[in-house]
Amino acid sequence: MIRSTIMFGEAVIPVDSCTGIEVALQRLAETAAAVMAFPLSTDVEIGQVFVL
Amino acid sequence: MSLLCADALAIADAVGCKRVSATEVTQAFLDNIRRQNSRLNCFTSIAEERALAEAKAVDDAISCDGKSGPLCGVPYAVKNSFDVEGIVTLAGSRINTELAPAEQDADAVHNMRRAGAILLGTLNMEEYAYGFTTENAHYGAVRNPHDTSKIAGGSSGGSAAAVAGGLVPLSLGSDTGGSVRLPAALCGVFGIKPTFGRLGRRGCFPLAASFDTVGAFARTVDDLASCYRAMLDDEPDRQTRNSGTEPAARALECKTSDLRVAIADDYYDRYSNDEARAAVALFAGVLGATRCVTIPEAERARAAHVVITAVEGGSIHLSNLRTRSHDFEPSSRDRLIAGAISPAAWYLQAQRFRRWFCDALAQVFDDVDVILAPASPCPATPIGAETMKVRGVDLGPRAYMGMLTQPISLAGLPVITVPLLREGQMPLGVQIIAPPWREDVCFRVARFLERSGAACSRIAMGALPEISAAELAP
Repeated sequence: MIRSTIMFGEAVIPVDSCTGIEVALQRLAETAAAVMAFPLSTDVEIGQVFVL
Repeated sequence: MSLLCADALAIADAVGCKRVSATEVTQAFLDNIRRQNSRLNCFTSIAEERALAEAKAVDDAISCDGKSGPLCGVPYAVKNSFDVEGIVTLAGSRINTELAPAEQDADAVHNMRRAGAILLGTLNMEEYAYGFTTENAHYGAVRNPHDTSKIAGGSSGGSAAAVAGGLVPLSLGSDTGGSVRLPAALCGVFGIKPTFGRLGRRGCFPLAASFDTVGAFARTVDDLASCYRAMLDDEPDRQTRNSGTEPAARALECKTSDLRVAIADDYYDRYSNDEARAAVALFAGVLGATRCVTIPEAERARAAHVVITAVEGGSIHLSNLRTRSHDFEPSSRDRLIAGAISPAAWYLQAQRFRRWFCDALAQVFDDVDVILAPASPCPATPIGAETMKVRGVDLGPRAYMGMLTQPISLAGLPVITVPLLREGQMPLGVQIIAPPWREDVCFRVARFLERSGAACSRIAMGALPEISAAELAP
Protein backbone atom coordinates (compact mmCIF):
# COMPACT_ATOMS: atom_id res chain seq x y z
CA MET A 1 0.00 0.00 0.00
CA ILE A 2 1.29 3.44 -0.90
CA ARG A 3 1.22 5.90 1.96
CA SER A 4 1.19 9.67 1.95
CA THR A 5 4.75 9.88 0.73
CA ILE A 6 6.53 7.93 -1.92
CA MET A 7 10.14 6.98 -1.49
CA PHE A 8 12.63 7.50 -4.27
CA GLY A 9 15.89 6.26 -2.89
CA GLU A 10 16.79 8.79 -0.21
CA ALA A 11 14.22 11.33 -1.33
CA VAL A 12 10.53 11.59 -0.63
CA ILE A 13 7.70 12.83 -2.80
CA PRO A 14 5.14 14.62 -0.67
CA VAL A 15 1.67 14.37 -2.16
CA ASP A 16 -1.74 15.49 -0.92
CA SER A 17 -3.37 12.25 -1.90
CA CYS A 18 -2.00 9.02 -3.19
CA THR A 19 -5.28 7.89 -4.71
CA GLY A 20 -4.37 8.94 -8.21
CA ILE A 21 -0.93 7.41 -7.95
CA GLU A 22 -2.33 4.16 -6.64
CA VAL A 23 -4.73 4.00 -9.55
CA ALA A 24 -2.00 4.84 -12.04
CA LEU A 25 0.36 2.28 -10.58
CA GLN A 26 -2.33 -0.39 -10.48
CA ARG A 27 -3.14 0.24 -14.15
CA LEU A 28 0.52 0.19 -15.11
CA ALA A 29 1.02 -3.06 -13.20
CA GLU A 30 -1.90 -4.65 -15.04
CA THR A 31 -0.50 -3.40 -18.33
CA ALA A 32 2.99 -4.65 -17.55
CA ALA A 33 1.61 -8.04 -16.56
CA ALA A 34 0.54 -8.61 -20.15
CA VAL A 35 4.08 -7.91 -21.35
CA MET A 36 5.70 -9.98 -18.62
CA ALA A 37 3.50 -12.96 -19.53
CA PHE A 38 4.83 -13.09 -23.07
CA PRO A 39 7.37 -15.88 -23.54
CA LEU A 40 10.55 -14.54 -25.11
CA SER A 41 13.58 -16.50 -26.14
CA THR A 42 16.81 -15.58 -24.42
CA ASP A 43 18.09 -14.83 -27.92
CA VAL A 44 16.08 -11.61 -27.86
CA GLU A 45 18.49 -9.07 -26.45
CA ILE A 46 17.75 -5.54 -25.38
CA GLY A 47 20.76 -4.28 -27.31
CA GLN A 48 18.99 -5.15 -30.55
CA VAL A 49 15.91 -3.03 -30.02
CA PHE A 50 17.05 0.02 -31.94
CA VAL A 51 17.77 -1.89 -35.13
CA LEU A 52 14.79 -1.32 -37.42
CA MET B 1 -8.67 33.21 -53.20
CA SER B 2 -7.68 34.71 -49.87
CA LEU B 3 -4.06 34.30 -48.83
CA LEU B 4 -5.30 32.78 -45.62
CA CYS B 5 -6.96 29.92 -47.50
CA ALA B 6 -3.99 29.19 -49.75
CA ASP B 7 -1.92 26.08 -49.27
CA ALA B 8 1.79 26.31 -48.51
CA LEU B 9 3.12 25.67 -52.00
CA ALA B 10 0.73 28.22 -53.53
CA ILE B 11 2.08 30.80 -51.09
CA ALA B 12 5.69 29.84 -51.86
CA ASP B 13 4.98 30.16 -55.58
CA ALA B 14 3.33 33.57 -55.15
CA VAL B 15 6.19 34.85 -53.01
CA GLY B 16 8.88 33.38 -55.27
CA CYS B 17 7.26 35.02 -58.30
CA LYS B 18 6.88 38.34 -56.43
CA ARG B 19 3.08 38.39 -56.76
CA VAL B 20 3.03 39.02 -53.05
CA SER B 21 5.80 39.68 -50.57
CA ALA B 22 6.68 37.39 -47.68
CA THR B 23 6.14 40.38 -45.41
CA GLU B 24 2.56 40.86 -46.65
CA VAL B 25 1.84 37.15 -46.19
CA THR B 26 3.32 37.15 -42.71
CA GLN B 27 1.40 40.24 -41.63
CA ALA B 28 -1.88 38.80 -42.92
CA PHE B 29 -1.40 35.56 -40.99
CA LEU B 30 -0.30 37.36 -37.82
CA ASP B 31 -3.42 39.54 -37.98
CA ASN B 32 -5.60 36.48 -38.44
CA ILE B 33 -3.99 34.68 -35.52
CA ARG B 34 -4.82 37.64 -33.30
CA ARG B 35 -8.43 37.47 -34.42
CA GLN B 36 -8.86 33.70 -34.20
CA ASN B 37 -6.57 32.36 -31.52
CA SER B 38 -8.80 33.10 -28.55
CA ARG B 39 -11.46 30.85 -30.07
CA LEU B 40 -9.15 27.88 -30.70
CA ASN B 41 -6.43 28.43 -28.07
CA CYS B 42 -3.66 27.11 -30.35
CA PHE B 43 -0.83 29.60 -29.83
CA THR B 44 1.02 30.04 -26.55
CA SER B 45 3.40 32.63 -28.00
CA ILE B 46 3.40 34.72 -31.16
CA ALA B 47 6.85 35.51 -32.53
CA GLU B 48 5.90 38.67 -34.41
CA GLU B 49 9.28 40.38 -34.38
CA ARG B 50 11.12 37.27 -35.52
CA ALA B 51 8.50 36.46 -38.14
CA LEU B 52 8.69 39.90 -39.74
CA ALA B 53 12.50 39.77 -39.68
CA GLU B 54 12.50 36.35 -41.36
CA ALA B 55 10.00 37.58 -43.93
CA LYS B 56 12.13 40.63 -44.71
CA ALA B 57 15.17 38.39 -45.17
CA VAL B 58 13.23 36.24 -47.64
CA ASP B 59 12.01 39.31 -49.54
CA ASP B 60 15.53 40.78 -49.62
CA ALA B 61 17.01 37.52 -50.94
CA ILE B 62 14.41 37.34 -53.71
CA SER B 63 14.93 40.99 -54.64
CA CYS B 64 18.74 40.76 -54.63
CA ASP B 65 19.42 37.56 -56.49
CA GLY B 66 16.07 35.87 -57.09
CA LYS B 67 16.95 33.08 -54.70
CA SER B 68 14.10 31.48 -52.85
CA GLY B 69 13.75 28.29 -50.84
CA PRO B 70 11.07 25.67 -51.50
CA LEU B 71 8.95 27.08 -48.66
CA CYS B 72 9.82 30.74 -49.17
CA GLY B 73 7.45 33.00 -47.30
CA VAL B 74 5.31 30.11 -46.00
CA PRO B 75 4.06 30.75 -42.46
CA TYR B 76 4.26 27.89 -40.00
CA ALA B 77 4.31 27.28 -36.26
CA VAL B 78 5.73 24.66 -33.92
CA LYS B 79 4.58 22.71 -30.88
CA ASN B 80 5.98 24.47 -27.85
CA SER B 81 8.27 21.53 -27.09
CA PHE B 82 10.58 22.71 -29.91
CA ASP B 83 13.39 25.07 -29.01
CA VAL B 84 12.96 28.47 -30.60
CA GLU B 85 15.74 30.96 -29.96
CA GLY B 86 14.59 33.57 -27.46
CA ILE B 87 11.44 31.70 -26.38
CA VAL B 88 11.08 29.49 -23.31
CA THR B 89 10.45 25.86 -24.31
CA LEU B 90 7.32 25.26 -22.26
CA ALA B 91 6.58 21.68 -23.33
CA GLY B 92 3.08 22.39 -22.10
CA SER B 93 4.20 22.69 -18.49
CA ARG B 94 4.15 25.27 -15.74
CA ILE B 95 7.53 24.09 -14.44
CA ASN B 96 9.36 25.00 -17.65
CA THR B 97 8.29 28.65 -17.40
CA GLU B 98 11.25 28.98 -15.00
CA LEU B 99 13.73 27.92 -17.68
CA ALA B 100 15.80 30.44 -19.60
CA PRO B 101 14.74 31.11 -23.19
CA ALA B 102 16.26 28.73 -25.72
CA GLU B 103 19.64 29.88 -27.02
CA GLN B 104 19.21 28.35 -30.45
CA ASP B 105 16.58 26.79 -32.65
CA ALA B 106 15.82 23.09 -32.72
CA ASP B 107 17.20 21.31 -35.78
CA ALA B 108 13.75 21.06 -37.34
CA VAL B 109 13.17 24.82 -36.93
CA HIS B 110 16.62 25.54 -38.33
CA ASN B 111 15.87 23.41 -41.38
CA MET B 112 12.51 25.06 -41.97
CA ARG B 113 14.16 28.47 -41.86
CA ARG B 114 16.75 27.26 -44.37
CA ALA B 115 13.87 26.36 -46.69
CA GLY B 116 12.50 29.91 -46.41
CA ALA B 117 9.57 29.20 -44.08
CA ILE B 118 8.50 31.90 -41.61
CA LEU B 119 8.00 30.91 -37.97
CA LEU B 120 4.95 32.66 -36.49
CA GLY B 121 5.01 31.21 -32.98
CA THR B 122 4.70 28.23 -30.69
CA LEU B 123 1.67 26.05 -30.07
CA ASN B 124 -0.25 24.60 -27.16
CA MET B 125 0.19 20.93 -26.30
CA GLU B 126 -0.38 18.31 -23.65
CA GLU B 127 1.85 18.77 -20.60
CA TYR B 128 5.17 17.11 -21.45
CA ALA B 129 3.39 15.50 -24.42
CA TYR B 130 1.93 12.87 -22.10
CA GLY B 131 -1.68 12.47 -23.23
CA PHE B 132 -4.01 12.39 -26.20
CA THR B 133 -6.51 15.22 -25.68
CA THR B 134 -4.59 18.52 -25.16
CA GLU B 135 -6.83 19.57 -22.30
CA ASN B 136 -3.93 21.42 -20.73
CA ALA B 137 -4.61 22.46 -17.14
CA HIS B 138 -2.10 25.34 -17.31
CA TYR B 139 -2.82 26.83 -20.73
CA GLY B 140 -6.37 25.66 -21.40
CA ALA B 141 -7.76 23.11 -23.81
CA VAL B 142 -7.09 23.40 -27.53
CA ARG B 143 -10.44 23.52 -29.32
CA ASN B 144 -11.21 21.54 -32.44
CA PRO B 145 -11.89 23.98 -35.33
CA HIS B 146 -14.63 21.67 -36.67
CA ASP B 147 -16.54 21.96 -33.38
CA THR B 148 -15.03 24.07 -30.64
CA SER B 149 -16.77 22.03 -27.95
CA LYS B 150 -14.65 19.03 -28.92
CA ILE B 151 -11.03 18.08 -28.25
CA ALA B 152 -8.36 18.53 -30.91
CA GLY B 153 -6.54 15.38 -29.86
CA GLY B 154 -3.00 15.34 -28.60
CA SER B 155 -0.39 15.73 -27.67
CA SER B 156 0.29 18.03 -30.64
CA GLY B 157 -3.26 19.41 -30.44
CA GLY B 158 -2.30 23.02 -31.08
CA SER B 159 -0.34 22.03 -34.18
CA ALA B 160 -3.24 20.14 -35.75
CA ALA B 161 -5.89 22.71 -34.82
CA ALA B 162 -3.79 25.60 -36.14
CA VAL B 163 -3.65 23.98 -39.58
CA ALA B 164 -7.31 22.88 -39.56
CA GLY B 165 -8.35 26.35 -38.41
CA GLY B 166 -6.39 28.15 -41.12
CA LEU B 167 -4.03 29.91 -38.71
CA VAL B 168 -1.04 28.43 -40.59
CA PRO B 169 -0.77 26.15 -43.62
CA LEU B 170 1.98 24.04 -42.00
CA SER B 171 2.96 23.11 -38.47
CA LEU B 172 5.40 20.84 -36.70
CA GLY B 173 4.68 18.43 -33.88
CA SER B 174 6.13 15.33 -32.32
CA ASP B 175 4.83 11.80 -32.07
CA THR B 176 5.74 9.38 -29.27
CA GLY B 177 2.65 7.19 -29.32
CA GLY B 178 0.34 8.93 -31.77
CA SER B 179 0.75 12.61 -30.96
CA VAL B 180 0.83 13.64 -34.62
CA ARG B 181 -1.39 10.94 -36.12
CA LEU B 182 -4.21 11.27 -33.63
CA PRO B 183 -4.76 15.06 -33.65
CA ALA B 184 -4.37 15.01 -37.44
CA ALA B 185 -7.26 12.55 -37.59
CA LEU B 186 -9.50 14.36 -35.13
CA CYS B 187 -8.91 17.75 -36.78
CA GLY B 188 -9.17 16.48 -40.36
CA VAL B 189 -5.67 17.27 -41.67
CA PHE B 190 -2.79 15.23 -43.06
CA GLY B 191 -0.07 14.29 -40.58
CA ILE B 192 3.21 12.42 -40.90
CA LYS B 193 5.13 10.45 -38.33
CA PRO B 194 8.33 9.39 -40.10
CA THR B 195 10.36 6.30 -39.27
CA PHE B 196 11.85 6.48 -35.78
CA GLY B 197 15.28 8.06 -36.22
CA ARG B 198 14.61 9.58 -39.65
CA LEU B 199 14.60 13.22 -38.52
CA GLY B 200 16.96 14.90 -36.10
CA ARG B 201 15.31 15.79 -32.80
CA ARG B 202 17.95 17.97 -31.20
CA GLY B 203 16.21 20.82 -29.44
CA CYS B 204 12.94 18.94 -28.91
CA PHE B 205 11.88 18.43 -25.31
CA PRO B 206 11.67 14.65 -24.80
CA LEU B 207 8.93 12.40 -23.51
CA ALA B 208 10.36 8.93 -24.23
CA ALA B 209 13.64 8.65 -26.10
CA SER B 210 12.74 5.21 -27.43
CA PHE B 211 9.88 6.63 -29.49
CA ASP B 212 10.04 10.44 -29.83
CA THR B 213 9.77 11.39 -33.50
CA VAL B 214 9.45 14.80 -35.16
CA GLY B 215 6.43 15.11 -37.48
CA ALA B 216 4.35 17.61 -39.41
CA PHE B 217 0.80 18.66 -40.37
CA ALA B 218 -0.63 20.11 -43.59
CA ARG B 219 -3.88 20.36 -45.56
CA THR B 220 -2.46 18.81 -48.75
CA VAL B 221 -0.12 15.90 -49.43
CA ASP B 222 2.17 18.11 -51.52
CA ASP B 223 2.51 20.55 -48.64
CA LEU B 224 3.21 17.71 -46.23
CA ALA B 225 5.87 16.25 -48.52
CA SER B 226 7.52 19.66 -48.96
CA CYS B 227 7.61 20.23 -45.22
CA TYR B 228 8.99 16.75 -44.64
CA ARG B 229 11.71 17.23 -47.24
CA ALA B 230 12.62 20.58 -45.71
CA MET B 231 13.20 18.93 -42.34
CA LEU B 232 15.58 16.27 -43.65
CA ASP B 233 19.15 16.95 -42.65
CA ASP B 234 21.91 17.29 -45.20
CA GLU B 235 24.37 15.92 -42.73
CA PRO B 236 22.53 13.46 -40.55
CA ASP B 237 24.04 12.75 -37.19
CA ARG B 238 24.07 9.29 -35.72
CA GLN B 239 20.45 9.54 -34.62
CA THR B 240 19.18 10.11 -38.12
CA ARG B 241 19.20 8.08 -41.26
CA ASN B 242 18.54 9.69 -44.59
CA SER B 243 20.18 7.07 -46.73
CA GLY B 244 18.06 4.68 -48.70
CA THR B 245 14.80 5.54 -50.32
CA GLU B 246 14.18 9.04 -51.60
CA PRO B 247 11.29 9.84 -49.33
CA ALA B 248 8.82 11.91 -51.22
CA ALA B 249 9.79 13.60 -54.45
CA ARG B 250 9.48 10.79 -56.97
CA ALA B 251 6.89 8.96 -54.92
CA LEU B 252 4.25 11.58 -55.59
CA GLU B 253 4.36 10.82 -59.31
CA CYS B 254 3.79 7.10 -58.85
CA LYS B 255 0.62 5.00 -58.97
CA THR B 256 -0.43 2.54 -56.32
CA SER B 257 -1.55 -0.38 -58.48
CA ASP B 258 1.69 -2.24 -57.78
CA LEU B 259 1.27 -1.96 -54.02
CA ARG B 260 -0.12 -4.78 -51.92
CA VAL B 261 -2.50 -3.00 -49.55
CA ALA B 262 -4.08 -4.76 -46.57
CA ILE B 263 -6.47 -3.77 -43.80
CA ALA B 264 -5.51 -4.32 -40.17
CA ASP B 265 -8.00 -6.61 -38.42
CA ASP B 266 -8.25 -8.32 -35.02
CA TYR B 267 -7.17 -5.73 -32.41
CA TYR B 268 -8.04 -2.91 -34.82
CA ASP B 269 -11.56 -4.30 -35.24
CA ARG B 270 -12.04 -4.85 -31.53
CA TYR B 271 -11.06 -1.34 -30.52
CA SER B 272 -12.63 0.85 -33.17
CA ASN B 273 -16.23 1.94 -33.55
CA ASP B 274 -18.31 1.37 -36.67
CA GLU B 275 -17.57 4.79 -38.15
CA ALA B 276 -13.80 4.39 -37.74
CA ARG B 277 -13.92 1.02 -39.47
CA ALA B 278 -16.13 2.48 -42.18
CA ALA B 279 -13.49 5.14 -42.88
CA VAL B 280 -10.88 2.44 -43.39
CA ALA B 281 -13.26 0.46 -45.61
CA LEU B 282 -13.91 3.54 -47.74
CA PHE B 283 -10.22 4.18 -48.41
CA ALA B 284 -9.57 0.46 -48.89
CA GLY B 285 -12.27 0.40 -51.55
CA VAL B 286 -10.67 3.30 -53.41
CA LEU B 287 -7.36 1.44 -53.32
CA GLY B 288 -8.96 -1.85 -54.38
CA ALA B 289 -7.81 -3.51 -51.18
CA THR B 290 -9.84 -6.42 -49.89
CA ARG B 291 -7.25 -8.37 -48.00
CA CYS B 292 -6.97 -8.25 -44.20
CA VAL B 293 -3.82 -8.71 -42.17
CA THR B 294 -3.29 -9.25 -38.46
CA ILE B 295 -0.67 -7.18 -36.70
CA PRO B 296 0.62 -9.83 -34.29
CA GLU B 297 0.23 -9.16 -30.58
CA ALA B 298 -0.94 -5.59 -31.20
CA GLU B 299 -2.62 -5.31 -27.81
CA ARG B 300 0.54 -6.46 -26.07
CA ALA B 301 2.51 -4.04 -28.23
CA ARG B 302 0.39 -1.21 -26.89
CA ALA B 303 1.06 -2.46 -23.36
CA ALA B 304 4.81 -2.51 -23.97
CA HIS B 305 4.63 1.02 -25.38
CA VAL B 306 2.75 2.22 -22.31
CA VAL B 307 5.33 0.71 -19.95
CA ILE B 308 8.36 2.08 -21.80
CA THR B 309 6.84 5.55 -22.12
CA ALA B 310 5.88 5.71 -18.44
CA VAL B 311 9.31 4.59 -17.26
CA GLU B 312 11.31 6.82 -19.60
CA GLY B 313 9.02 9.79 -18.91
CA GLY B 314 9.24 9.20 -15.17
CA SER B 315 13.00 9.05 -15.43
CA ILE B 316 13.26 12.38 -17.27
CA HIS B 317 11.13 14.16 -14.66
CA LEU B 318 12.38 12.32 -11.58
CA SER B 319 14.02 15.35 -10.03
CA ASN B 320 10.95 17.55 -10.31
CA LEU B 321 8.67 14.72 -9.22
CA ARG B 322 10.73 14.46 -6.06
CA THR B 323 10.78 18.14 -5.21
CA ARG B 324 7.68 19.75 -6.72
CA SER B 325 5.16 17.16 -7.85
CA HIS B 326 2.32 19.60 -7.12
CA ASP B 327 3.41 21.67 -10.14
CA PHE B 328 2.58 18.86 -12.55
CA GLU B 329 -0.90 18.27 -13.90
CA PRO B 330 -2.39 15.62 -11.62
CA SER B 331 -3.05 13.17 -14.45
CA SER B 332 0.42 13.23 -15.93
CA ARG B 333 2.04 13.45 -12.48
CA ASP B 334 0.39 10.26 -11.28
CA ARG B 335 1.34 8.32 -14.39
CA LEU B 336 4.90 9.65 -14.38
CA ILE B 337 5.37 8.71 -10.73
CA ALA B 338 4.00 5.25 -11.45
CA GLY B 339 6.54 4.93 -14.24
CA ALA B 340 9.36 6.21 -12.06
CA ILE B 341 8.81 3.59 -9.38
CA SER B 342 8.20 0.65 -11.71
CA PRO B 343 10.39 -2.45 -11.46
CA ALA B 344 13.24 -2.49 -13.96
CA ALA B 345 12.10 -5.95 -15.06
CA TRP B 346 8.94 -4.46 -16.60
CA TYR B 347 10.93 -2.04 -18.70
CA LEU B 348 13.49 -4.59 -19.83
CA GLN B 349 10.85 -7.11 -20.80
CA ALA B 350 8.96 -4.41 -22.72
CA GLN B 351 12.10 -3.50 -24.65
CA ARG B 352 12.86 -7.12 -25.40
CA PHE B 353 9.26 -7.59 -26.56
CA ARG B 354 9.79 -4.58 -28.79
CA ARG B 355 12.57 -6.45 -30.57
CA TRP B 356 10.30 -9.44 -31.07
CA PHE B 357 7.49 -7.22 -32.34
CA CYS B 358 9.73 -5.47 -34.90
CA ASP B 359 10.80 -8.84 -36.27
CA ALA B 360 7.20 -10.09 -36.39
CA LEU B 361 6.10 -7.00 -38.31
CA ALA B 362 8.97 -7.41 -40.74
CA GLN B 363 7.50 -10.80 -41.61
CA VAL B 364 4.09 -9.22 -42.15
CA PHE B 365 5.69 -6.79 -44.58
CA ASP B 366 7.09 -9.70 -46.59
CA ASP B 367 3.55 -10.16 -47.88
CA VAL B 368 2.13 -6.62 -47.90
CA ASP B 369 3.48 -3.17 -48.72
CA VAL B 370 0.97 -1.03 -46.87
CA ILE B 371 -1.37 -1.54 -43.93
CA LEU B 372 -4.48 0.58 -43.41
CA ALA B 373 -5.77 1.07 -39.86
CA PRO B 374 -8.01 3.57 -38.10
CA ALA B 375 -6.09 6.35 -36.37
CA SER B 376 -8.56 6.65 -33.51
CA PRO B 377 -11.27 4.43 -32.05
CA CYS B 378 -13.88 7.16 -32.57
CA PRO B 379 -14.19 10.86 -33.56
CA ALA B 380 -13.26 13.72 -31.24
CA THR B 381 -14.96 13.62 -27.86
CA PRO B 382 -16.36 16.65 -25.96
CA ILE B 383 -13.82 18.68 -24.00
CA GLY B 384 -14.01 17.52 -20.39
CA ALA B 385 -15.43 14.09 -21.17
CA GLU B 386 -14.07 11.51 -18.74
CA THR B 387 -14.93 8.55 -20.92
CA MET B 388 -15.56 7.55 -24.51
CA LYS B 389 -17.46 4.47 -25.53
CA VAL B 390 -15.52 2.09 -27.76
CA ARG B 391 -17.67 -0.84 -28.85
CA GLY B 392 -19.65 -0.62 -25.64
CA VAL B 393 -16.67 -0.22 -23.31
CA ASP B 394 -15.99 3.04 -21.42
CA LEU B 395 -12.38 4.20 -21.77
CA GLY B 396 -10.64 7.46 -20.79
CA PRO B 397 -9.80 9.54 -23.89
CA ARG B 398 -6.63 11.02 -22.44
CA ALA B 399 -4.92 7.63 -22.15
CA TYR B 400 -6.85 5.49 -24.63
CA MET B 401 -7.58 7.71 -27.63
CA GLY B 402 -4.15 6.67 -28.94
CA MET B 403 -4.61 2.95 -28.44
CA LEU B 404 -4.55 2.34 -32.22
CA THR B 405 -1.42 4.39 -32.84
CA GLN B 406 0.72 3.17 -29.93
CA PRO B 407 1.41 -0.36 -31.30
CA ILE B 408 2.84 1.14 -34.50
CA SER B 409 5.11 3.42 -32.47
CA LEU B 410 6.59 0.38 -30.74
CA ALA B 411 7.92 -0.73 -34.12
CA GLY B 412 8.97 2.78 -35.19
CA LEU B 413 7.18 2.50 -38.52
CA PRO B 414 6.47 5.49 -40.80
CA VAL B 415 2.82 6.52 -40.99
CA ILE B 416 0.78 9.22 -42.69
CA THR B 417 -2.66 9.94 -41.30
CA VAL B 418 -5.07 10.64 -44.14
CA PRO B 419 -8.20 12.61 -43.18
CA LEU B 420 -11.80 11.85 -43.99
CA LEU B 421 -14.10 14.86 -43.78
CA ARG B 422 -17.74 13.94 -43.25
CA GLU B 423 -20.67 16.26 -43.86
CA GLY B 424 -22.23 17.24 -40.55
CA GLN B 425 -19.93 14.95 -38.57
CA MET B 426 -16.52 15.21 -37.03
CA PRO B 427 -13.50 14.16 -39.13
CA LEU B 428 -11.78 10.81 -38.88
CA GLY B 429 -8.37 9.64 -40.01
CA VAL B 430 -6.81 6.48 -41.38
CA GLN B 431 -3.23 5.42 -40.78
CA ILE B 432 -1.21 4.54 -43.88
CA ILE B 433 1.50 2.30 -42.41
CA ALA B 434 4.64 1.24 -44.31
CA PRO B 435 7.83 -0.69 -43.50
CA PRO B 436 10.76 1.16 -41.88
CA TRP B 437 12.30 3.93 -44.02
CA ARG B 438 9.51 3.70 -46.65
CA GLU B 439 7.88 7.09 -46.18
CA ASP B 440 7.71 7.17 -49.98
CA VAL B 441 5.08 4.42 -49.89
CA CYS B 442 3.00 6.37 -47.38
CA PHE B 443 3.15 9.42 -49.63
CA ARG B 444 2.14 7.44 -52.72
CA VAL B 445 -0.97 6.09 -51.04
CA ALA B 446 -1.88 9.40 -49.42
CA ARG B 447 -1.52 11.23 -52.73
CA PHE B 448 -3.64 8.61 -54.53
CA LEU B 449 -6.43 8.93 -51.97
CA GLU B 450 -6.28 12.72 -52.19
CA ARG B 451 -6.39 12.74 -55.99
CA SER B 452 -9.29 10.29 -55.98
CA GLY B 453 -11.26 12.80 -53.91
CA ALA B 454 -11.84 10.30 -51.11
CA ALA B 455 -9.44 12.08 -48.77
CA CYS B 456 -9.20 15.82 -48.41
CA SER B 457 -8.62 18.51 -45.87
CA ARG B 458 -9.83 22.08 -45.77
CA ILE B 459 -10.09 24.93 -43.34
CA ALA B 460 -12.91 24.16 -40.94
CA MET B 461 -16.13 26.06 -41.51
CA GLY B 462 -16.41 28.82 -38.96
CA ALA B 463 -12.67 29.09 -38.50
CA LEU B 464 -12.56 32.05 -40.88
CA PRO B 465 -16.02 33.58 -40.41
CA GLU B 466 -15.44 36.48 -42.75
CA ILE B 467 -14.78 34.17 -45.69
CA SER B 468 -17.61 32.55 -47.62
CA ALA B 469 -18.09 28.81 -47.95
CA ALA B 470 -17.40 29.01 -51.68
CA GLU B 471 -13.94 30.39 -51.01
CA LEU B 472 -13.16 27.56 -48.66
CA ALA B 473 -13.86 24.88 -51.25
CA PRO B 474 -10.69 22.94 -52.10
